Amino acid sequence: MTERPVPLGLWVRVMREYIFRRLLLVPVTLLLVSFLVFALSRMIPGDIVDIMFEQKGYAKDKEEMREKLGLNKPIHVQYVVWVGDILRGNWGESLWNREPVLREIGKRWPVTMELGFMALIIAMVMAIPIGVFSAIRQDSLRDYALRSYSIAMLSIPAFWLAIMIILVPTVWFPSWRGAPPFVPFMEDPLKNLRIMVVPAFCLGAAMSGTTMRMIRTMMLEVLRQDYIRTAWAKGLREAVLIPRHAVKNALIPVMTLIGAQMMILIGGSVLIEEIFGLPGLGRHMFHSIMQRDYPMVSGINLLLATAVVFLNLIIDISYAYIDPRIRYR
Amino acid sequence: MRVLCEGFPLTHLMVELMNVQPVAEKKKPSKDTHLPWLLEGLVTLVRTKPLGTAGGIVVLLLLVTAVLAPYLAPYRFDAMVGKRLLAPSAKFWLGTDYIGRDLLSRIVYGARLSVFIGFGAVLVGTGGAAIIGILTGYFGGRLDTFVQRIVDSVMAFPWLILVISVISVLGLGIVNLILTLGILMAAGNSRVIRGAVLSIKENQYIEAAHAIGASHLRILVVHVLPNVMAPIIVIATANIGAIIIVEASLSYLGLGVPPPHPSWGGMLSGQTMMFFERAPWIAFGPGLALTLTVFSFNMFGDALRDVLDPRLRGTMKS
Repeated sequence: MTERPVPLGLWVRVMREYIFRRLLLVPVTLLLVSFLVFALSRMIPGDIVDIMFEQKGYAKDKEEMREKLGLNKPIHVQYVVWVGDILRGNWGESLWNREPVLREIGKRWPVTMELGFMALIIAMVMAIPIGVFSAIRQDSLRDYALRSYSIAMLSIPAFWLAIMIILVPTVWFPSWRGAPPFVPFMEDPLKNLRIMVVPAFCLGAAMSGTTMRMIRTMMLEVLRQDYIRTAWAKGLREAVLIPRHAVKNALIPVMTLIGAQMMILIGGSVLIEEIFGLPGLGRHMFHSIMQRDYPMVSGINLLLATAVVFLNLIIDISYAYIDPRIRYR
Repeated sequence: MRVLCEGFPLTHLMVELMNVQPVAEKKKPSKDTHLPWLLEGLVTLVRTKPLGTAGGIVVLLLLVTAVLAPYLAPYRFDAMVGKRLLAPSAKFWLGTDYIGRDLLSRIVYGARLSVFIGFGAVLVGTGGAAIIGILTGYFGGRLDTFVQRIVDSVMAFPWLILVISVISVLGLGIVNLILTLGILMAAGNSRVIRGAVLSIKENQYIEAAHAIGASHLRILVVHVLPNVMAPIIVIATANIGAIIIVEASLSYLGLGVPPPHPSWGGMLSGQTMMFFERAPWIAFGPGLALTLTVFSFNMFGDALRDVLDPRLRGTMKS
């Protein structure tokens, strides 16, 4: 796959053009994303002013409150003001505790990132060997068993898996009782990892199922290629052929596709952080939505969606880099 | 893979479905059997895929349970028939919940909600995906570019977070849930159908139809639609499990269908959670029902994909 049958100059030109075209899409998508985020937050039913005025009373009367929040202007003006503020780095502040949105996000994203990466690693560690093995023993009894296992992983709802993992030890092994409170990674890395590993497993389980199946399909594809038959014909041993010739090539597309799955992990983090009481972005997002704290909701939504847009960009470009066939379309 | 080639971002739903290939040419039925291709597919499924068939049978049983819930359940779902938190016994097979309702009955009734929302959302989602995918793939041009950008921006949000945001805006309720899940599913999966249509469009029979003066509508209905039926069916069966999980997750977070309607996710959430340690069986039943249901749908969908997908069809016997 690293061989390039085209002259280097042409390759660079095509690649540059592809990246350019691909980059052009980004601002358009981001603009639509910002519309969506803004619209979502302004469509929340029940007047936020009413709720806030009754509960907190930041202002003398509702009119003043509305003015303070900038809600008395027409909607398109509100949008322009909002986008302008975002671009200047002023993401607003929480309607409830007056904390700046960016600072709240800054406090919480490391937890979610850590959870996501640990889940990713756990998923891969489970998925790669099982997927590869399942493919090289296609249609054997073990293949069926492993495929059923991967579908089972996909079928267990993450929140139920989490409940079971918390519940079963407390019922049958009362000495394990009680999850320890969260400790930030910087304070005590070992303790932090010990706390995070179970939530990360719950989050990664479903992903390992999907990835396993993907790896199996890719492996089957690669194993049918001529160069694998040639390698067999040369008399290569399986222990050399599978890892060096097959797995390496099968994993390239899988690796780039895994990035796309990060999004599912972020979504799942809402549930997992809620169940395990981790102070991450997902849990905060959920509570902000419930409290109608829309500067916070918009901020987190915007951040996550932007991250996904750029993640997709990186995936597409790296994929085009790895697989030359894509660029020539 | 075709989707990637267009230079559009890859979305997570496609990861699962990237193997779906259009049926470029319909296989001619052999002379002795004149079965329609879908029925033929089902026969192949039963013959070659025991696990998938078992999944299909469980799905059928589930449907029967959902339809006949009032006759099958020993008690009504909202009747307080016993003491609270009774352990499983001959009278209450799965025990009772924290206000003394029979758990088995609630699980049986819960099947209704899962099935209804699952099928409803998949119907909306698959229908929407088919319409968007066929129109954008067939006509292309500005419409395609515009719609694809919208799909991009919708797909940029993590699924669960977007669903939670939308549901909190629209309010709780079955119809809102079905529409939200369905529309999001349509956005993600329209790419798969679009990709299939792009390649079908290049076939000579489409050109021939144009040449004899067939209208766009006729070409779409008579020539394009039958050829994307396989990916459409695969999308439907591949997504229903995921939809049921999302619905249960929402119910677990308290954003599903409001009580007293029993839902499997809802039976694990809220106040119930305080009683898990005292009465662990109340946590087992609903979760097992959920897992078994999704597992069966996935098994069935997987087998169906292998049978309907002509590229994988060859590999089954190798």
